[in-house]
Amino acid sequence: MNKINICIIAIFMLLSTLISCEFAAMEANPGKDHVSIFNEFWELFNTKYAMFDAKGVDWTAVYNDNRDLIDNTISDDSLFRVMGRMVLLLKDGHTSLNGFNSLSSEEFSAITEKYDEKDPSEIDPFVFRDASFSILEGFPENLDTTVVKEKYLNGKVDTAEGMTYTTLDDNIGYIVYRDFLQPVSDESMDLVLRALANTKGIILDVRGNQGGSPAFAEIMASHFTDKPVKTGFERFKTGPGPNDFKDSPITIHPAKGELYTKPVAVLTNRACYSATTTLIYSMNPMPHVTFIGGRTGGGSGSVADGHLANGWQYSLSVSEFIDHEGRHLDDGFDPDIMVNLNEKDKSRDEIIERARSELRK
Amino acid sequence: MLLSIFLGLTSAGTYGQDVDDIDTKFWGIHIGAGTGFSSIQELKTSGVIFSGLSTNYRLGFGKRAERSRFEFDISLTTGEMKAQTNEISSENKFNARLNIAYLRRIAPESGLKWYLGPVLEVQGIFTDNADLSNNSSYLLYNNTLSVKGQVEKQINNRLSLTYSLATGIVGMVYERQSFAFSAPQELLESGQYNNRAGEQTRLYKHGKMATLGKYYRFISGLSLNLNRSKSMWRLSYNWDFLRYRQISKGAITATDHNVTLTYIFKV
Repeated sequence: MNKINICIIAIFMLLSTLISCEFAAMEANPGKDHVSIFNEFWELFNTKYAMFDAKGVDWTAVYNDNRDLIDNTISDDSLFRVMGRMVLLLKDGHTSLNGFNSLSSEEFSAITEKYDEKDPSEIDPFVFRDASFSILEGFPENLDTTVVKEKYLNGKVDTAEGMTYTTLDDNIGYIVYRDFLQPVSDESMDLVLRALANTKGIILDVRGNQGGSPAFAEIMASHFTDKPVKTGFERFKTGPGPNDFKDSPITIHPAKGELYTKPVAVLTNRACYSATTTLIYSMNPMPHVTFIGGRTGGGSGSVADGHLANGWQYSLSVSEFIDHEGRHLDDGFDPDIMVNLNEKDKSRDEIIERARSELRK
Repeated sequence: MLLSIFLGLTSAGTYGQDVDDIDTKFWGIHIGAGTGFSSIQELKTSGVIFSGLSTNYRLGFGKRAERSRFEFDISLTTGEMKAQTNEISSENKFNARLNIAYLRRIAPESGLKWYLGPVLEVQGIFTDNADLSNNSSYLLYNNTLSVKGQVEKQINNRLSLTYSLATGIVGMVYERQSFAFSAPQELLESGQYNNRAGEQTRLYKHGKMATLGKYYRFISGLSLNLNRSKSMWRLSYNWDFLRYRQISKGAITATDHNVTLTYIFKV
C-alpha cells in the first residue's frame, strides 16, 4: 500500500471519528408517543414555569391526578384535553397550549362542519386544540370606544406613533394608547408632552391595551418622573430546581426630554394586560399618578414559547413581577379609584369623567 | 453535480494546459458555493433535533506559498431545518463565519506538506422560527481562537489533496437564550435584566470566555485542488461542528456538512 492510500485512509478514518462525535454530542430526540409528550410537557412546565407558588398550584399533584388518564391508545384530542385542562389550572393569560396546526385538513373540515351553525362563544375551544386562559371572563368591559371617539376625541386631535391625544375643554390633556405593539419613542413622548405642557393634568387612557413591548411601557413611564423610581423586581427562573430564581430590580430613570410631573390619571380595565402591567407598575410608585377604572388583567411575567415534540405549541411565564410594595401583579391590580362604566349611558364615559373631576381638584 | 463539474474541469485542466505555466505560489481571490446538510439541537428550548438541506457561499482572499498559507474567508451556510419528530415545526438556520488563518509549514523534509497555525474566527449562528413569538429567534455569537493543522499531498503537477482540522482553544461566546428566557443567562443571574431594548444584545458585556469542556469547536475539511495557470478550482467537503453548554443540560449543538466548489482567481 503506497503512502497516498495510507494518507487517504487515515483522513477518512479521522473524518469518520469526528463525525461520529456529532451523533454522540446530540441527545436523542424526545419520544412522540402520548406518554412521552405528556411527560415532556409536564417536565417543561415543572422546570420553567415561574409562578406555581403565586398561583397556588401543586404541579406534582396535578401530574399525579392526570398521569393515569394518559396511555398510548387514547386519541390526540383526549391527550390535548388533559394537557389543556392542566394549563388552564394556572389561570395565566400568558400560558397556553395550542395544537391547531396539528389538525389535518380533514379534521379541521369535520370540526367546522359540525360547529358551523353555532355561536362562536358556545364552541369548546378544545375542539380546535386551543387552551388559552381568558382574563376577561367575568369582568365588565369598562370601555366603549365609540363613546370615547364621539364624545372626547371629536375636536382637534393629533397623533404621535401609537398615541392619539387632545386637550379637553377643561384644559385636561387626554392621551389614548391602546396597543403596546405600536411604537412609543422618546421623540413621540416629547411631542405629545410638549403639546400638553400647559394642561392642568393628563388622562392616560390605556384601557383595552393588551400589551406588546414592555420597553415601550418603560419609555412612556420615564416621561412622567423627574427622579429615579424603584418599581420592584422581576424574578426569573434561571434553572430547573424549584428555587432557581434570580431577581432583577427595576428602576425607571427620568427621560432626557420632556417630563410631566403634574397630576396624571391612568385609566384601566380588565383588558390592561402584559406590557400595560409594566406601565402600571412603573408609574404606580409616582406620587402624582392615580389609577382609575376597573381591575387590570395582570400578566406581569415574561414569556417563553416553543414546540413539543409532536409540534404542539406552548407558551408559559418564566418570570413574575413583584412590585415595590411586595405585591404579585399577575392576577391584576385594583386601581386607586374603582369606577365602572354605565354601559347603557352612551352620552358619557364615567371613568373619564371621574378622572377629569379628580384632576380638577 | 458539483463533483461532475469538478471532474470535467479536472480532465480539461490536466490534459489541456502547459504544465510550466502553473504557479504554486500566488495571491488569490476566491468565491465559492455549494450544498450540504445541517442540524441544530438547542436543549434549553427543545430536545428536538432540527435538520435539513442547506446551501453555502464563501468569499475571500489568500496567499499560497511554499512555506506558509494565509486565508481570509467569509462564509454563510443557510437552510430550512425541519423538526425530526413532527411535520409542523421548522426554522431557518444561518451560520455566518469570518475566518483569518495563518499557517506555517512544519517538517519541511517530509514528503507531505504539513502546516500548522492559528485561526481567528468570528461566527454567528442564528435561527428564525416564524411560528413563535419571544423565542422566534436564537442567536449565538462567538470569537474563537483555534489551532489549525493541514496536510497536503501533491498528486501530480496540478492536482493536490488537502486535509485540515481546526480545533477551538478558547472562545468568547455570547448566547441570547438562558435556561428559560430569551435573554442571556449571565444577564439574569447578575440581576441586571431590564426591558429596555439593547441591554440584552451587548455581545461583549454578556459574553463568556469558554474553553474545552463547555465549548467544542471543530472545522474539518477535505479538498481536492486543481491548479491552473491563472486560477485554481477547489472541490471541498467541510464539517463544521459547534457545541456550547453554558448551563447544565442546556447545550446547543450545531453542525454543517458542506460540499463546496470554489474558484480562485490568481492575482
